Amino acid sequence: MKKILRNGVVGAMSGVTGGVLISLAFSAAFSSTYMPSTPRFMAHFSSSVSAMGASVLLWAMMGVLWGTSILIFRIDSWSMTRQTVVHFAICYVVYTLLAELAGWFPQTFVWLRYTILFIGIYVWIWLTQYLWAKAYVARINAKLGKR
Amino acid sequence: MKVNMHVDTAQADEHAELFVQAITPKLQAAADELTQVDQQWWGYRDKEIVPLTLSLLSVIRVEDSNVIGYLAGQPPVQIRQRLYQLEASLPTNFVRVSKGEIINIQQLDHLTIALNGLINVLMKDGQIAMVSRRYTGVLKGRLGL
Repeated sequence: MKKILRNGVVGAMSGVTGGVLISLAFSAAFSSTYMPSTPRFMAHFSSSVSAMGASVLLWAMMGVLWGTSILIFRIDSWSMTRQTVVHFAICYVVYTLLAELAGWFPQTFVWLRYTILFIGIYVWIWLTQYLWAKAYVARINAKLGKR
Repeated sequence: MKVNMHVDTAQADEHAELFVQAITPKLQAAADELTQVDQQWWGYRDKEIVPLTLSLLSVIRVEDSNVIGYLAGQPPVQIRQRLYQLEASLPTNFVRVSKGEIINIQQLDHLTIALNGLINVLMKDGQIAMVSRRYTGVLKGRLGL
């Protein structure tokens, strides 16, 4: 519980920092003034203060999501497949929702490509862990065989 | 160092004597190991106290908040100590592999990996334990890897 809270706070702070830096970089590249997000997002707000406020809140929520959801991989009684699948399900749904609210997706967004990329990242995470565990088991069995 | 062993089945009081110039950490470790040789461990089976043969003890597992010791070729026993106490006081061939399990690496047969990524330990007596990722390093270290 304490860990969830701590990861949530650190995640929120990291999220806001990351959001500021990324939006600053995008603003510098594509616009003459600072904008926390895309023009499509800005159009929803009457003032830049409220747009910035909403952006900070969304960045913080994204940070909380990543910071706390990573703890799923610490649940020892779960298999790594279960951890990966549950983490994927939560993050795909919540992150996609937050990113959409933050106006990060273009209007002509290719959902299929996005979803395949998302799944691809998780397959890679699972595969890396599985191959590591497989090598671990092989190494120990080789050692046991020699005894 | 020269080591003499005087083997005699009629020996009543088993003991060891070391003639050394100084006590080094290595010697101290050896002496600690020797004093543990005859340290008696006890288990409980149907309200009866039974002596435990550590070499036969394969897996120690927490089941419904009871600590159960599984022995090769013998019925399981209940052990009164908590798992963390056992982890600290048992000889080094006993290794914690998960939150609720300690295994005897002398009784370890081999490891398997399931497709869901769980690493299982198969013991010579057929017991199966699970290695959680947190303890993979400890097991590796105890096996000298």
